[in-house]
Amino acid sequence: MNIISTYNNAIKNLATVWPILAFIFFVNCLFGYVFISPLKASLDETIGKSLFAERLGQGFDYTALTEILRETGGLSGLSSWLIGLALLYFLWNIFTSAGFLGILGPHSKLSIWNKFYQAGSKYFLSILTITFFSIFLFSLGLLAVGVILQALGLNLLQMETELALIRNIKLAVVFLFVWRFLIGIFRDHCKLDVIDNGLAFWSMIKNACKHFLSSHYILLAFFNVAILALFLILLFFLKSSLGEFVLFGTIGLLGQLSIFLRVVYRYIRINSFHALKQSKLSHDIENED
Amino acid sequence: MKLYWFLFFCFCVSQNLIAQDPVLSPRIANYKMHIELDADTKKLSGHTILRWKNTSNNPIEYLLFHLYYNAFKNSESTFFKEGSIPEFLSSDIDEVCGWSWSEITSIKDQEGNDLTPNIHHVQPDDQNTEDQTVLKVPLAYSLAPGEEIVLEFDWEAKIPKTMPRTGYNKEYYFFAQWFPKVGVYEPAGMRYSTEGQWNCHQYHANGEYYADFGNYDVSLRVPKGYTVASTGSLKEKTEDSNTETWRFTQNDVIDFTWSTSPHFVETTEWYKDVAIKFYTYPYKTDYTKRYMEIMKFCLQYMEEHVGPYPYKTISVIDPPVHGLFTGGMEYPTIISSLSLKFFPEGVKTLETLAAHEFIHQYFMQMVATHEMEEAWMDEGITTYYEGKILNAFFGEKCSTIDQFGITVGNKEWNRTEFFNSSAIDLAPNTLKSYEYTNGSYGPTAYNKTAIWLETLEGLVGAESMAEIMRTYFDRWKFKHPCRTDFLDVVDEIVLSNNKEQFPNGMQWYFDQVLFGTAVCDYSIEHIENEILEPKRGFLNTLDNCTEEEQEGSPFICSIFIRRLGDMKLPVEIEVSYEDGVKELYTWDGQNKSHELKIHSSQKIISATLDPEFKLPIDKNLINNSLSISSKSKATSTFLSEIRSGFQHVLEGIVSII
Repeated sequence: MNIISTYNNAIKNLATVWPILAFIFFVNCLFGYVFISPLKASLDETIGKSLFAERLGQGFDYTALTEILRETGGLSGLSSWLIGLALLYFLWNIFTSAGFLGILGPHSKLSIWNKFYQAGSKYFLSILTITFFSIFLFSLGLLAVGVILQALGLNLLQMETELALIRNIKLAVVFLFVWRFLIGIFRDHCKLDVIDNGLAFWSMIKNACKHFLSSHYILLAFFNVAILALFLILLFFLKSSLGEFVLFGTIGLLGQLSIFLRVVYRYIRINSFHALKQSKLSHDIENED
Repeated sequence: MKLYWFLFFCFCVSQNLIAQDPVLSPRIANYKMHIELDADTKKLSGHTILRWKNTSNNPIEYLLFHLYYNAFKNSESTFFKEGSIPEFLSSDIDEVCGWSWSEITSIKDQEGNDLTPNIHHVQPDDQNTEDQTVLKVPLAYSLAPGEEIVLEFDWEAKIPKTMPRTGYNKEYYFFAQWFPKVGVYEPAGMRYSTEGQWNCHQYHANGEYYADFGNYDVSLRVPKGYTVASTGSLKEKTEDSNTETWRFTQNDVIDFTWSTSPHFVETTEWYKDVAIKFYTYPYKTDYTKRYMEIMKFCLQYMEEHVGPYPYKTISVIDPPVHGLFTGGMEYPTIISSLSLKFFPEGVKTLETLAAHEFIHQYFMQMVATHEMEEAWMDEGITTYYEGKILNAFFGEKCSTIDQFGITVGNKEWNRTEFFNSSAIDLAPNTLKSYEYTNGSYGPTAYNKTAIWLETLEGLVGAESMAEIMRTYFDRWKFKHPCRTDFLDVVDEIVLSNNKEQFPNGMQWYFDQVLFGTAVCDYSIEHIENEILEPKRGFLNTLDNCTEEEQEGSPFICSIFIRRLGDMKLPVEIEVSYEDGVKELYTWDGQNKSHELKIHSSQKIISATLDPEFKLPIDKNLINNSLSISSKSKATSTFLSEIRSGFQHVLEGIVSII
């Protein structure tokens, strides 16, 4: 089982499913525009013709931001709007993640939309359950970290130095990253199990527990994350180095490209897991034969 | 009796020996103290000889003393009742009995009269009889004008645990506002006194100290192995089996403060003949370079812009994390700053605090204003210079934060602190520190003052402002000025340098910014470019109507400006024309609105109020300019960044799915 060839197989599918990914990205953009519209109206009203607006286009400007936040009331009036949008987006992505389960592996270009929608509705509740379980697991990790930090001491006045606390916080952050990473692998196993066995919750958990610490899956998950991180870092440096010497809109395009990459990553990740699982299964069958 | 005369003689001799340096101050309250620190029982025992001079024309019947440590005696003190002790400081006070007290056990005058039986606590500020922070010491005889009295007293104090500004925690001690200290007798004519009177406030949660100048000779006996940082210079150090005695002296100061710990690492560097002594814990020694650089810069800046630093030392303490309750304080020739290892280097807290507390050496240590009664003269002027120093040191745009591409300047930080607070029109600057409500003390005393001093600089010009501050410092150093003294200096300089602009001085300005709560907000409401219609009617003859093109400027441009706040200031208006030409106009800012009409050959494309940002006191900078065209391109770049950020947040949220 070659991780890279598994990954390559997952990427090859992009040629078929890219319209769906583009659609998901488009919806994300739409949410962005919907979010920004009341802000834009508020900004146009307060600084639409003020020369002060020019300071907004010149990088981080503390005075500009604080004046605008003070005079427009900031995001305080938009918080329920923001939460509502995030919730809606969350539900939409439960659907898209469920839909991904229908378009894993090679498919005909003609049938992918149907399969995507069918899987989206078929596995919606399963993915929702898995997501809540993942959130529950992550919350357990957070709680454990909080309890341990509290037990080690958070009162600055009782410390000889703050160095121990800084070290503990760093360790906690590393632990949470690793924990989150492992939950991701566990979650993907659960998703793939749903395709084969439906939502039999405890058996799904049992199966995921059996396999999620396999070195192949960990390596593949790491490879996925590393590739995404590499691309995002490249884009970040490209964006930073371009500075202001670019045509209007280029920076914005780079920003959108990074969003698109994250959408693509979500598909490649589950698809590569699927490919690895298939490859492992056939390998096991060959061995049995 | 002979013994007292002998002691008095010795004290006078020692004072004369110390007083080899030029006499800088009136030296009214002079102390010789021997202090013992018992690190096991957390107690101090002291023996003090106070030589105090009656500089008034009144005979004096009694003295008032501050017993600051009684502020932490119990929950009934005025300090505690004012309730501004942070929870994290007072949380374990009961567990370890961290309460403190201070009492004079015996007191005698140079005649040998025992004054102890008649001493009692008084409460000059409120009716809280539980507060014991001021002690009245009736004298055995009237102290005639011009006479001196020598009082010798023994006292004891229990050291508080982690109280604001002072106390101990683990093996770190910081002794500020700690010893029985005589109040200030203000003779008639000094500050607001119409007749001689004591000025000795109780210890309030908001409010520091006010004292007369004098000479200090203090011996501090501490456990062996402890390092002492203190006001003044170390004269000698002796030791016995378990203790060491450090003797410090300092002339012409208003207080004496010290700190000790067995873990202090001491570093000394020099700026000219001033020793900069830095004390910190071993894990923080990497900050030494940053401290030394900012302190040298401060010394140089204040020397060049205000006046020379007259003392031989300046000690800086960066307390350990368990001593952070003592960080950010100023005492004569010794200051405490604060750094935390959590902060990245680009967060300039360390430099900001060090600079701020150092500037206090000038404004309230040398120009000894009354912090509790007129905090703006102390904290406000200091914050004004803090901005100047940090801007000169780091650059205006990044003098407070410069990290990860995020930059914040000190001046803009000040504006935000004030205009984002509820204090914007809540209180004038003239309240006593403990009279401010709803958290308005800090924003009003510190930030608002700095902003209106910068605005004053904008109005009168940088040169006049520099002259004002130099004159004020020079005239009032080693004295106790009040606000009228500052205002007099301002008027004197302005009437000499800016008479054409401000023929009646600046009282009108102070009525608004200092004595009032006026808010400044000027706004450009709209711009119009009207094409001049041809002249019509009976123009050159009565026989028939004619029409003639207007000569010269084809446009009548008008700019409509409004004064939205109640503060009235003269403002400048910069007008930009289509061809790139800019013109500057002025408006006295008095009426509620003003229409600026200009005949021009070019259309006006934009107008800006206060283009050089001379009036940082203007609350809203957005409405200070207006263009005839929309600036949506700039806002869309900004909005696209926000949108992209939001999209990433959304993707982050759904990554758990």
